[in-house]
Amino acid sequence: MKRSSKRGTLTIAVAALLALAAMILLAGCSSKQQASSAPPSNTAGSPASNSVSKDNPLAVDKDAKTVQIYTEVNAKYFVEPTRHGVVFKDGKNASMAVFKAWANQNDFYNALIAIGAQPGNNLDLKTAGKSAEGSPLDVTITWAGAGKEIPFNDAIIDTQHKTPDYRFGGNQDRAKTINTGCILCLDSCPVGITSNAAYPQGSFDGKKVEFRGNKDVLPADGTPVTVTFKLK
Amino acid sequence: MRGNNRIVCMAYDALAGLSAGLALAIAAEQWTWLDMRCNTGILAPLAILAGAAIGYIRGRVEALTGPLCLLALILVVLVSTGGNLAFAAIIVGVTLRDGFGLPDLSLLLADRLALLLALGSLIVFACFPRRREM
Repeated sequence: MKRSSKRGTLTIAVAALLALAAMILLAGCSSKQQASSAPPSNTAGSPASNSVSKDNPLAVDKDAKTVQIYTEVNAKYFVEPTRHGVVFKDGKNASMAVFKAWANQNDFYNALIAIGAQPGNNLDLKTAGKSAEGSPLDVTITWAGAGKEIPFNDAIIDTQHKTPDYRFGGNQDRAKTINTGCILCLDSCPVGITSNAAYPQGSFDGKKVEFRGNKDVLPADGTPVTVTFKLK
Repeated sequence: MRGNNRIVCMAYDALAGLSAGLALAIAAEQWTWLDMRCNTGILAPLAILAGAAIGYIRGRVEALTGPLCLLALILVVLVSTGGNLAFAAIIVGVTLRDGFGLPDLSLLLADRLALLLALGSLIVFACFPRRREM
Protein backbone atom coordinates (compact mmCIF):
# COMPACT_ATOMS: atom_id res chain seq x y z
CA MET A 1 0.00 0.00 0.00
CA LYS A 2 2.82 2.36 0.97
CA ARG A 3 4.71 1.40 -2.17
CA SER A 4 1.67 2.15 -4.34
CA SER A 5 1.20 5.51 -2.60
CA LYS A 6 4.86 6.43 -3.19
CA ARG A 7 4.53 5.47 -6.82
CA GLY A 8 1.41 7.61 -7.13
CA THR A 9 3.18 10.60 -5.62
CA LEU A 10 6.14 10.07 -7.93
CA THR A 11 3.88 9.91 -10.98
CA ILE A 12 2.06 13.10 -10.01
CA ALA A 13 5.39 14.84 -9.40
CA VAL A 14 6.72 13.70 -12.79
CA ALA A 15 3.47 14.77 -14.47
CA ALA A 16 3.61 18.19 -12.81
CA LEU A 17 7.22 18.71 -13.89
CA LEU A 18 6.39 17.65 -17.42
CA ALA A 19 3.38 19.98 -17.44
CA LEU A 20 5.59 22.87 -16.47
CA ALA A 21 8.24 21.96 -19.05
CA ALA A 22 5.67 21.46 -21.82
CA MET A 23 3.94 24.74 -21.04
CA ILE A 24 7.18 26.68 -21.04
CA LEU A 25 8.36 24.96 -24.20
CA LEU A 26 5.20 25.13 -26.27
CA ALA A 27 3.53 28.27 -24.95
CA GLY A 28 6.77 30.22 -25.21
CA CYS A 29 7.35 28.93 -28.68
CA SER A 30 3.81 29.60 -29.83
CA SER A 31 4.07 33.22 -28.84
CA LYS A 32 7.38 33.56 -30.68
CA GLN A 33 5.89 32.00 -33.77
CA GLN A 34 2.85 34.24 -33.48
CA ALA A 35 5.07 37.28 -33.34
CA SER A 36 7.05 36.23 -36.38
CA SER A 37 4.03 35.17 -38.42
CA ALA A 38 2.22 38.49 -38.28
CA PRO A 39 1.45 39.42 -41.89
CA PRO A 40 3.82 42.10 -43.11
CA SER A 41 2.32 45.31 -44.40
CA ASN A 42 2.08 45.70 -48.14
CA THR A 43 4.46 48.16 -49.72
CA ALA A 44 4.78 49.60 -53.15
CA GLY A 45 8.36 48.46 -53.42
CA SER A 46 7.63 44.85 -54.26
CA PRO A 47 6.53 44.91 -57.87
CA ALA A 48 6.44 41.15 -58.36
CA SER A 49 4.45 40.25 -55.27
CA ASN A 50 1.04 40.90 -56.82
CA SER A 51 1.58 39.35 -60.25
CA VAL A 52 1.08 35.73 -59.16
CA SER A 53 -1.33 34.13 -56.73
CA LYS A 54 -2.71 30.72 -55.76
CA ASP A 55 -5.26 31.02 -58.57
CA ASN A 56 -2.71 32.29 -61.07
CA PRO A 57 0.55 30.69 -59.89
CA LEU A 58 2.66 31.21 -63.03
CA ALA A 59 3.40 34.42 -64.93
CA VAL A 60 5.54 34.69 -68.05
CA ASP A 61 6.96 37.95 -69.37
CA LYS A 62 8.61 37.24 -72.72
CA ASP A 63 9.88 40.82 -73.10
CA ALA A 64 11.54 40.91 -69.72
CA LYS A 65 12.49 37.20 -70.10
CA THR A 66 11.13 36.35 -66.68
CA VAL A 67 9.03 33.56 -65.20
CA GLN A 68 7.39 34.18 -61.84
CA ILE A 69 5.79 31.56 -59.62
CA TYR A 70 3.69 31.69 -56.46
CA THR A 71 5.16 29.83 -53.49
CA GLU A 72 4.79 29.62 -49.72
CA VAL A 73 7.54 29.29 -47.12
CA ASN A 74 8.03 25.97 -45.30
CA ALA A 75 9.71 26.78 -41.98
CA LYS A 76 10.69 23.16 -41.34
CA TYR A 77 13.77 23.76 -43.45
CA PHE A 78 14.89 26.67 -41.31
CA VAL A 79 15.78 23.86 -38.90
CA GLU A 80 16.47 20.73 -40.96
CA PRO A 81 18.76 20.49 -44.03
CA THR A 82 17.30 19.97 -47.50
CA ARG A 83 18.41 19.90 -51.13
CA HIS A 84 15.05 21.11 -52.42
CA GLY A 85 14.63 24.84 -53.03
CA VAL A 86 11.24 25.03 -54.79
CA VAL A 87 8.85 22.09 -55.31
CA PHE A 88 5.30 21.90 -56.74
CA LYS A 89 2.72 21.34 -53.99
CA ASP A 90 1.34 18.15 -55.57
CA GLY A 91 4.73 16.61 -56.35
CA LYS A 92 6.20 13.73 -54.33
CA ASN A 93 8.74 16.05 -52.71
CA ALA A 94 6.25 18.84 -51.95
CA SER A 95 6.85 18.83 -48.20
CA MET A 96 10.65 18.67 -48.53
CA ALA A 97 11.41 22.13 -49.94
CA VAL A 98 12.02 25.57 -48.49
CA PHE A 99 9.37 26.92 -50.89
CA LYS A 100 6.19 25.05 -51.84
CA ALA A 101 5.06 26.16 -55.31
CA TRP A 102 1.55 26.30 -56.70
CA ALA A 103 2.87 26.10 -60.27
CA ASN A 104 3.33 22.67 -61.85
CA GLN A 105 6.95 21.76 -62.76
CA ASN A 106 5.91 20.88 -66.33
CA ASP A 107 4.20 24.23 -66.89
CA PHE A 108 7.27 25.88 -65.41
CA TYR A 109 9.49 24.03 -67.90
CA ASN A 110 7.32 25.23 -70.79
CA ALA A 111 7.43 28.78 -69.42
CA LEU A 112 11.24 28.76 -69.44
CA ILE A 113 11.21 27.50 -73.03
CA ALA A 114 8.77 30.32 -73.89
CA ILE A 115 11.23 32.99 -72.70
CA GLY A 116 13.97 31.46 -74.84
CA ALA A 117 15.91 29.44 -72.25
CA GLN A 118 17.77 26.34 -73.45
CA PRO A 119 17.65 23.17 -71.30
CA GLY A 120 20.96 21.45 -70.47
CA ASN A 121 19.68 17.86 -70.34
CA ASN A 122 23.19 16.62 -69.57
CA LEU A 123 22.43 14.72 -66.36
CA ASP A 124 20.85 11.37 -65.65
CA LEU A 125 20.63 9.13 -62.60
CA LYS A 126 24.20 7.83 -63.22
CA THR A 127 26.09 11.10 -63.71
CA ALA A 128 27.11 11.80 -60.10
CA GLY A 129 29.85 14.42 -59.93
CA LYS A 130 28.68 16.37 -63.00
CA SER A 131 27.14 19.82 -62.85
CA ALA A 132 23.93 20.87 -64.56
CA GLU A 133 24.21 22.79 -67.83
CA GLY A 134 21.64 24.90 -69.67
CA SER A 135 20.81 28.59 -69.80
CA PRO A 136 21.97 30.54 -66.74
CA LEU A 137 19.26 32.16 -64.66
CA ASP A 138 19.02 34.91 -62.07
CA VAL A 139 16.68 33.82 -59.30
CA THR A 140 15.18 36.32 -56.86
CA ILE A 141 12.36 36.34 -54.33
CA THR A 142 10.02 38.94 -52.92
CA TRP A 143 6.90 39.08 -50.78
CA ALA A 144 4.44 41.68 -49.54
CA GLY A 145 6.45 43.89 -47.24
CA ALA A 146 9.89 42.85 -48.49
CA GLY A 147 10.12 46.06 -50.50
CA LYS A 148 12.66 44.70 -52.98
CA GLU A 149 13.81 41.67 -54.94
CA ILE A 150 16.13 39.56 -52.80
CA PRO A 151 18.67 37.17 -54.38
CA PHE A 152 17.48 33.60 -53.88
CA ASN A 153 20.77 32.62 -52.34
CA ASP A 154 20.32 35.16 -49.53
CA ALA A 155 17.33 33.09 -48.46
CA ILE A 156 19.42 29.93 -48.26
CA ILE A 157 22.14 29.09 -45.76
CA ASP A 158 24.77 27.13 -47.68
CA THR A 159 27.45 25.52 -45.51
CA GLN A 160 30.10 25.99 -48.24
CA HIS A 161 29.14 29.61 -49.07
CA LYS A 162 29.64 29.17 -52.83
CA THR A 163 28.28 31.71 -55.29
CA PRO A 164 25.20 30.06 -56.84
CA ASP A 165 24.99 29.25 -60.54
CA TYR A 166 21.35 28.53 -61.37
CA ARG A 167 20.85 26.68 -64.65
CA PHE A 168 17.91 25.46 -66.69
CA GLY A 169 18.80 21.78 -66.32
CA GLY A 170 15.75 20.60 -68.30
CA ASN A 171 14.98 16.96 -67.40
CA GLN A 172 11.41 17.23 -68.62
CA ASP A 173 10.88 13.51 -69.23
CA ARG A 174 12.00 12.49 -65.75
CA ALA A 175 10.11 15.41 -64.21
CA LYS A 176 6.95 14.02 -65.80
CA THR A 177 7.50 10.34 -65.07
CA ILE A 178 8.94 10.57 -61.55
CA ASN A 179 6.74 13.59 -60.64
CA THR A 180 8.80 14.78 -57.69
CA GLY A 181 7.55 18.29 -58.47
CA CYS A 182 11.11 19.67 -58.30
CA ILE A 183 11.38 23.16 -59.78
CA LEU A 184 14.65 24.36 -58.24
CA CYS A 185 17.25 22.03 -56.70
CA LEU A 186 19.99 23.43 -54.51
CA ASP A 187 22.62 21.14 -56.09
CA SER A 188 22.82 19.69 -59.62
CA CYS A 189 19.92 17.31 -60.13
CA PRO A 190 18.84 14.99 -62.97
CA VAL A 191 15.14 15.49 -62.17
CA GLY A 192 14.75 19.14 -61.16
CA ILE A 193 13.86 21.65 -63.89
CA THR A 194 16.48 24.09 -62.61
CA SER A 195 19.56 23.36 -60.50
CA ASN A 196 22.37 25.14 -58.73
CA ALA A 197 25.34 24.10 -60.90
CA ALA A 198 27.80 25.43 -58.31
CA TYR A 199 27.35 22.03 -56.66
CA PRO A 200 27.78 18.85 -58.74
CA GLN A 201 25.20 16.09 -58.68
CA GLY A 202 25.38 14.15 -55.41
CA SER A 203 26.90 16.97 -53.33
CA PHE A 204 24.05 16.97 -50.80
CA ASP A 205 23.65 13.19 -50.64
CA GLY A 206 27.42 12.91 -50.23
CA LYS A 207 27.21 15.28 -47.24
CA LYS A 208 29.58 17.76 -48.91
CA VAL A 209 27.12 20.59 -48.38
CA GLU A 210 23.93 21.33 -46.47
CA PHE A 211 21.25 23.90 -47.24
CA ARG A 212 18.68 25.47 -44.92
CA GLY A 213 16.21 28.31 -45.25
CA ASN A 214 17.59 31.52 -43.72
CA LYS A 215 15.18 32.49 -40.94
CA ASP A 216 16.83 35.90 -40.64
CA VAL A 217 15.91 36.74 -44.22
CA LEU A 218 12.71 34.80 -44.94
CA PRO A 219 9.23 35.62 -43.64
CA ALA A 220 7.27 33.23 -41.41
CA ASP A 221 5.97 29.79 -42.35
CA GLY A 222 3.14 29.94 -44.90
CA THR A 223 3.90 33.46 -46.13
CA PRO A 224 3.31 33.84 -49.90
CA VAL A 225 6.57 34.48 -51.74
CA THR A 226 7.04 35.23 -55.44
CA VAL A 227 10.07 33.51 -56.98
CA THR A 228 11.32 35.14 -60.19
CA PHE A 229 13.55 33.37 -62.73
CA LYS A 230 15.17 35.74 -65.20
CA LEU A 231 17.11 34.55 -68.23
CA LYS A 232 20.61 36.07 -68.12
CA MET B 1 -18.06 -1.61 -17.11
CA ARG B 2 -15.23 -3.78 -18.36
CA GLY B 3 -15.80 -2.45 -21.90
CA ASN B 4 -15.63 1.15 -20.64
CA ASN B 5 -12.37 0.39 -18.88
CA ARG B 6 -10.88 -0.98 -22.06
CA ILE B 7 -11.80 2.30 -23.78
CA VAL B 8 -10.00 4.22 -21.00
CA CYS B 9 -6.93 2.01 -21.49
CA MET B 10 -7.06 2.61 -25.25
CA ALA B 11 -7.38 6.38 -24.81
CA TYR B 12 -4.49 6.48 -22.32
CA ASP B 13 -2.15 4.42 -24.48
CA ALA B 14 -3.21 6.31 -27.62
CA LEU B 15 -2.16 9.59 -25.96
CA ALA B 16 1.07 8.02 -24.81
CA GLY B 17 1.48 6.75 -28.38
CA LEU B 18 1.08 10.30 -29.74
CA SER B 19 3.98 11.54 -27.60
CA ALA B 20 6.09 8.49 -28.45
CA GLY B 21 5.23 8.76 -32.16
CA LEU B 22 6.12 12.45 -32.32
CA ALA B 23 9.39 11.72 -30.50
CA LEU B 24 10.21 8.92 -32.97
CA ALA B 25 9.21 11.07 -35.97
CA ILE B 26 11.36 14.01 -34.87
CA ALA B 27 14.27 11.68 -34.11
CA ALA B 28 13.86 10.08 -37.56
CA GLU B 29 13.88 13.54 -39.20
CA GLN B 30 17.45 13.94 -37.99
CA TRP B 31 18.43 11.23 -40.45
CA THR B 32 18.50 13.49 -43.50
CA TRP B 33 18.59 10.61 -45.99
CA LEU B 34 15.27 9.35 -44.61
CA ASP B 35 13.79 12.83 -44.25
CA MET B 36 14.45 13.48 -47.96
CA ARG B 37 12.65 10.29 -48.97
CA CYS B 38 9.57 9.95 -46.80
CA ASN B 39 7.24 11.74 -44.43
CA THR B 40 8.55 10.64 -41.04
CA GLY B 41 5.65 12.45 -39.35
CA ILE B 42 3.45 9.50 -40.32
CA LEU B 43 4.96 7.74 -37.28
CA ALA B 44 2.76 9.90 -35.02
CA PRO B 45 -0.66 8.65 -36.22
CA LEU B 46 0.75 5.12 -36.53
CA ALA B 47 1.92 5.25 -32.91
CA ILE B 48 -1.53 6.43 -31.81
CA LEU B 49 -3.09 3.39 -33.51
CA ALA B 50 -0.44 1.09 -32.04
CA GLY B 51 -1.00 2.61 -28.58
CA ALA B 52 -4.75 2.14 -28.82
CA ALA B 53 -4.27 -1.49 -29.88
CA ILE B 54 -1.83 -2.14 -27.03
CA GLY B 55 -4.23 -0.54 -24.54
CA TYR B 56 -7.07 -2.70 -25.78
CA ILE B 57 -5.07 -5.93 -25.69
CA ARG B 58 -3.30 -5.26 -22.38
CA GLY B 59 -6.43 -4.06 -20.60
CA ARG B 60 -4.54 -2.11 -17.96
CA VAL B 61 -2.75 1.19 -17.61
CA GLU B 62 0.90 1.49 -16.63
CA ALA B 63 0.94 4.89 -14.97
CA LEU B 64 4.51 5.79 -15.90
CA THR B 65 4.18 5.01 -19.63
CA GLY B 66 2.51 8.30 -20.50
CA PRO B 67 4.82 10.63 -18.54
CA LEU B 68 7.87 8.78 -19.85
CA CYS B 69 6.69 9.10 -23.47
CA LEU B 70 6.09 12.83 -22.97
CA LEU B 71 9.48 13.20 -21.32
CA ALA B 72 11.04 11.40 -24.30
CA LEU B 73 9.30 13.84 -26.67
CA ILE B 74 10.56 16.89 -24.78
CA LEU B 75 14.10 15.52 -24.67
CA VAL B 76 14.13 14.63 -28.39
CA VAL B 77 12.81 18.09 -29.32
CA LEU B 78 15.34 19.87 -27.12
CA VAL B 79 18.28 17.79 -28.34
CA SER B 80 17.33 17.98 -32.04
CA THR B 81 16.90 21.77 -31.94
CA GLY B 82 19.83 22.49 -29.63
CA GLY B 83 17.45 24.02 -27.11
CA ASN B 84 16.31 26.72 -29.56
CA LEU B 85 12.66 27.30 -28.56
CA ALA B 86 11.63 28.90 -31.85
CA PHE B 87 13.03 25.90 -33.73
CA ALA B 88 11.33 23.55 -31.26
CA ALA B 89 7.96 25.13 -32.04
CA ILE B 90 8.61 24.80 -35.77
CA ILE B 91 9.63 21.14 -35.57
CA VAL B 92 6.73 20.06 -33.33
CA GLY B 93 4.15 21.96 -35.39
CA VAL B 94 5.45 20.88 -38.78
CA THR B 95 5.79 17.22 -37.74
CA LEU B 96 2.21 17.24 -36.45
CA ARG B 97 0.99 18.97 -39.62
CA ASP B 98 2.83 16.67 -42.02
CA GLY B 99 2.16 13.52 -40.01
CA PHE B 100 -1.59 14.00 -40.00
CA GLY B 101 -1.68 15.12 -43.65
CA LEU B 102 -2.83 18.69 -42.99
CA PRO B 103 -0.58 20.75 -45.31
CA ASP B 104 -2.85 23.81 -45.14
CA LEU B 105 -2.82 24.00 -41.34
CA SER B 106 -0.91 27.09 -40.20
CA LEU B 107 2.12 26.51 -38.04
CA LEU B 108 0.61 28.71 -35.34
CA LEU B 109 -2.52 26.56 -35.20
CA ALA B 110 -0.44 23.37 -35.29
CA ASP B 111 1.58 24.63 -32.32
CA ARG B 112 -1.57 25.48 -30.37
CA LEU B 113 -2.93 22.03 -31.17
CA ALA B 114 0.33 20.50 -29.89
CA LEU B 115 0.03 22.55 -26.70
CA LEU B 116 -3.55 21.39 -26.17
CA LEU B 117 -2.60 17.78 -26.79
CA ALA B 118 0.34 18.05 -24.38
CA LEU B 119 -1.83 19.57 -21.64
CA GLY B 120 -4.64 17.08 -22.31
CA SER B 121 -2.16 14.22 -22.12
CA LEU B 122 -0.79 15.52 -18.82
CA ILE B 123 -4.25 15.73 -17.29
CA VAL B 124 -5.01 12.17 -18.38
CA PHE B 125 -1.62 10.90 -17.18
CA ALA B 126 -2.07 12.61 -13.82
CA CYS B 127 -5.42 10.83 -13.39
CA PHE B 128 -3.63 7.47 -13.25
CA PRO B 129 -1.51 7.64 -10.10
CA ARG B 130 -0.87 3.92 -9.99
CA ARG B 131 -1.07 0.82 -12.12
CA ARG B 132 -4.69 -0.06 -12.77
CA GLU B 133 -5.98 -3.48 -13.54
CA MET B 134 -9.06 -3.12 -15.69
